[in-house]
Amino acid sequence: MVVKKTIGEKIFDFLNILFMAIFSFLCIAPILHVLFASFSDPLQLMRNQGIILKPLGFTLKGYQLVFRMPGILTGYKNTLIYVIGGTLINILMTSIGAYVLTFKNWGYTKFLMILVVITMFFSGGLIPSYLLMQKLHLTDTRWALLIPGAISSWNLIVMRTGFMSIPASLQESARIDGAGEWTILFRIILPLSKAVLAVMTLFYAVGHWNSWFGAMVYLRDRAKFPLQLILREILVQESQTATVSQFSQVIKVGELNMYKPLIKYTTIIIATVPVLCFYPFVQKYFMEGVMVGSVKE
Amino acid sequence: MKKHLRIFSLVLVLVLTFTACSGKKANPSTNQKDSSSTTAKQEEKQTDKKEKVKLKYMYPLTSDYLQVVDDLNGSIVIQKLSEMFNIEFEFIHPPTGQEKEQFNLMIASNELPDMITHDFGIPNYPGGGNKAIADDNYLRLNELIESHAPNFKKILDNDAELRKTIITDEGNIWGLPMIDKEAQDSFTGPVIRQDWLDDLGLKAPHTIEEWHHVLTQFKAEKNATIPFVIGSQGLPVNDAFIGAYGVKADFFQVDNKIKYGPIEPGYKEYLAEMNKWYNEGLIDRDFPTGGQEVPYMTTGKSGATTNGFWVFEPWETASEDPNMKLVGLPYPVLKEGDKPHFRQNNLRMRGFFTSITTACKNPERAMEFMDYFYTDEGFVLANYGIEGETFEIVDGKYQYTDKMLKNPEGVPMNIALVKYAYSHGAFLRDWHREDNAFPADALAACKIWQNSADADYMMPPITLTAEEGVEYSNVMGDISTYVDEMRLKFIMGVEPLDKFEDYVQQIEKMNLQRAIEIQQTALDRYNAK
Amino acid sequence: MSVAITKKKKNIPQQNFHFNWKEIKRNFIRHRAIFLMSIPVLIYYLIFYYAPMYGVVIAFKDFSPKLGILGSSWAGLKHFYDFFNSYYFSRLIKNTLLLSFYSILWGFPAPIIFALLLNEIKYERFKKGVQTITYMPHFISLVVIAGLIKDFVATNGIINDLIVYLGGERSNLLINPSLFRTIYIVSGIWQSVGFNSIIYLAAISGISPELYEAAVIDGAGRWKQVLHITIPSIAPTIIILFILQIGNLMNVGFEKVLLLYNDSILETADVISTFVYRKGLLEFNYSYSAAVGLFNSVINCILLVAANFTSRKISETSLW
Repeated sequence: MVVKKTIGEKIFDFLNILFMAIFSFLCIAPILHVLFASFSDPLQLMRNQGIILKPLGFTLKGYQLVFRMPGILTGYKNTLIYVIGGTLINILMTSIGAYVLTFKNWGYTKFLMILVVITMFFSGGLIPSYLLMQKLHLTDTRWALLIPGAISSWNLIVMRTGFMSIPASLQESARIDGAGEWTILFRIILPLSKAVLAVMTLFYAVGHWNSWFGAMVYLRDRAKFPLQLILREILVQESQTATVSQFSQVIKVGELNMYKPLIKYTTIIIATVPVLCFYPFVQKYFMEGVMVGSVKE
Repeated sequence: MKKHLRIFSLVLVLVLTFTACSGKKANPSTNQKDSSSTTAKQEEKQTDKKEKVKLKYMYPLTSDYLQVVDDLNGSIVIQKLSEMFNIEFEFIHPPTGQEKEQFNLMIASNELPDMITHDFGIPNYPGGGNKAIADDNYLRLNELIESHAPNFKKILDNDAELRKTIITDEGNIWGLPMIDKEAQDSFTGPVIRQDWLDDLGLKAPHTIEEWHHVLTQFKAEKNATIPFVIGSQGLPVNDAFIGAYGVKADFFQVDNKIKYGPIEPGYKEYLAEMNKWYNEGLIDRDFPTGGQEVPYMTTGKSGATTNGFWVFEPWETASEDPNMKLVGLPYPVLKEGDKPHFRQNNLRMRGFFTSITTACKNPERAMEFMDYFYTDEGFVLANYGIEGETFEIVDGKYQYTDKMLKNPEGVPMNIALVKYAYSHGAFLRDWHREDNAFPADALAACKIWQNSADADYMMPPITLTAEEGVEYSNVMGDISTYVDEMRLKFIMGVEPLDKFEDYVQQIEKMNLQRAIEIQQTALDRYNAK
Repeated sequence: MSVAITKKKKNIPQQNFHFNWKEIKRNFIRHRAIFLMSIPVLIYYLIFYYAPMYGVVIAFKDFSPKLGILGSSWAGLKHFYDFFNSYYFSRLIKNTLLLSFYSILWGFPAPIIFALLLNEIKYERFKKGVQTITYMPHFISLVVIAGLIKDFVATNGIINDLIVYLGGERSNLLINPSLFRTIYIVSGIWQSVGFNSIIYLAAISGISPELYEAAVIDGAGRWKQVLHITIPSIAPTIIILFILQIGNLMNVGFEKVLLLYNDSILETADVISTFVYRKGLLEFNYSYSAAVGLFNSVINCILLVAANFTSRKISETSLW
């Protein structure tokens, strides 16, 4: 498909690429700031103002200090379990839900949709949810982080929108050929929705990677804590001022105080780099979506 | 079916008595090993008469401390006391920063532990300790203290002011706090660069006018673009400077009568002075956005601030200027000979209230355990650890050994305390134990701050009832937002100071009188204790 | 035009549901498979979303942890009155709505335009690289982002350098109440445009290339292709996301505002969530924050229903 470009198109392409390059720089600058800061000399870092675009000195002390914190490695392991296990459950449940909601021939789709939408606005809050989990004997188990968030209503709606873009004629002809609903979902809908699935996987996996609140509420056993909860503890603690409450204070001095900013940046790097590396794997499926799409009709 | 059950229970009883017997046998033999010391004999006596109890204990231990111990059972103090009182502790350390949520869930789901230490994130019981007793969640400890905590009782009986800070308005005791053996010196106040004063041949400023002069000189001669760091609220730390005008930016009391600083004439004078400083560029034009104190001080943009004695050493190390030398200065006054009525003030009661809940099956044992921390032996153990191991007595003074100062874990001394002594919680503390970690002139600054001002206008730790609390926060939530907003506008000159009268009227209209009444009632209750 | 709309209406199957046992039975037999399929999802929703929902009554009670939610005494509308009677109530509502409104006005189209522009780039490597990089700011901790924003807009910051270069005067932009919304929204777009464009890029990738090929044969230029193929193809996604966004209007998260604001710009920066947050620091009032949350949710819900209704009227796409 070689089409000769007009001058207008050439100018547009040039400006477009220029804009993207500048914008990319603006986006990568803070990442570099954090990355370089995490290797910087703590004293220089302490006096620094403004964005850092080259390391100020060099030290690995921040990483040494953070990895000395207990639970970082088990945290990685736990997070991996929650991300993989949780995302699998999410994708399975959400696809089933989204598929059911695309089905228009029975009278209940509207009713079910409203049922779903209501949950986006009203919830019982923390305490009833905790009591429920207690009754189900899920507190302090890993299931507490996998099951309650199995479907996010927002994602469910987005996935349904994706499924609906597939021509209904495909499903109908499959039904006429005697295919069951499960077969249609797994053999026709899902293979044709790779791009949507990839986005959903990304959203859910990122959600699991970043989540700490559920763990904080439902887990007591530190051996089950995900990475983010542990890192959050470090961040929160580093940002606390010396005077903790009006009448009680234990002063945090010396080494840790000096390394405070360094630890902050190191922690952020440890928490975000793996998730940044995740995107290129997902990206691949956007392209694949095109190819499958071109074959289908 | 019934027969089976009977046989089963018989077997169970047999097994239990057997294990109990063997347990008793095992105990003396382990004790014999170290029966040489006198404390071991005590232990033997106690373990003989007491069977083992388990206590579930919620205790705030942030991730700093978890570098050194897995949980508080890693503390040698707890290990020793566990043995002495034959208690097996199961500790709950809620995640740092999320203590409040966990605490609430714990109460709402009725999963109370046996003991709870508050502070360091773990909030007080909603509605206060008295409410906790009324809700039947915490035990009223008065009687238990009478019968099982003679040492704590003695401390309480000897200091009426201390007693007031521990007992509720209704006369209940709901927890035992950390108590300082003697009240700690004020540890925040004005900080200035002595090296700059020396360079310019200036004497240390004391009056506001002298401060103005010194800061102007810093700006002119030392190229300090922002000579003084004021803080994002337009208030230096702990009422320094504003205290010179006889007010603070909040409630205070003069002869037990409540006053609200932001409507007083002294407050207006303070604003006028700060507005002048702002216009002359003595304070940061961007001060409301805050957070730049460390870079300003360490790069020579600023020469004075208000902060604590712990910043001296790190800042001097981090400074670009190797000659940087910080000193503490007295709380400023309007004219020589004055003495401000406000400063950072330390009570002997230092929080960390530790309560026993209604879920506890052995409150007596828990109380005996806690009382030990207020004995002379307990004082040494909790503050300094074990003689010969973590401390030695040199010239009649306690000195930490290298095990503490250069601990194998490589953490600062005050973190290592959690393992080799007792870092926080309900105990009798010697605040001088941390002196080792600070240079002498930082400690000297504390003396200067302590002596340069009285704290006689400061509020004592009053408590509001739950109903008062709701009403108070409804009124004051709006007022303090308004006051904070207007303070910055006055200082920055966005609002002219002739509007001050309108501003006072507006605050009155927002029902300040009611808030003052609530505070007054609570203060009267406190004084009547 | 009106003809077209009525035509569209006819295509939508009538969905009147009423609990008529006979009909349900008939329906069940006819659509057995789909019924069975919906069961796990339905059970999940009932247990994990609907079972705890009795908790909303906390907004009408004086919650005491000891007594539990159902046991606490009724407070009626007290907490709502307290909120409505707050001196700052109207300012909070105004600030929240304006901040949200401008966020949607500028922030909603941004990722769509970004995705369309990115789609026009034919150098695959460059395109992938840009995608990967622009998605990053979404993951950087807000504390760092807010710190950088403050640096940039400070009196000596990079933006002021630019202003002075262009002949303006130096001033800190974050102590100027009239600039807070701009700073909040521009930084918000920068933070999230890459991440939010993913969903549109995925939708674009699902468009059949045949459509473009046909358009090229018809002599359509690139602009025409975007206008007549790309945008209509992703329109359902855009509309659905827009409706969901409208239903989120009252929710302005407190974290970023809290990190950016200061007392000198409260008149534009103070929003409902920061107000509640500050109140939470003063006291421990679950019921009050639940009441405010419920108030927000009700408004959000009404807005979403309205948006959905409007969308159904003027386009084929709607949530139900």
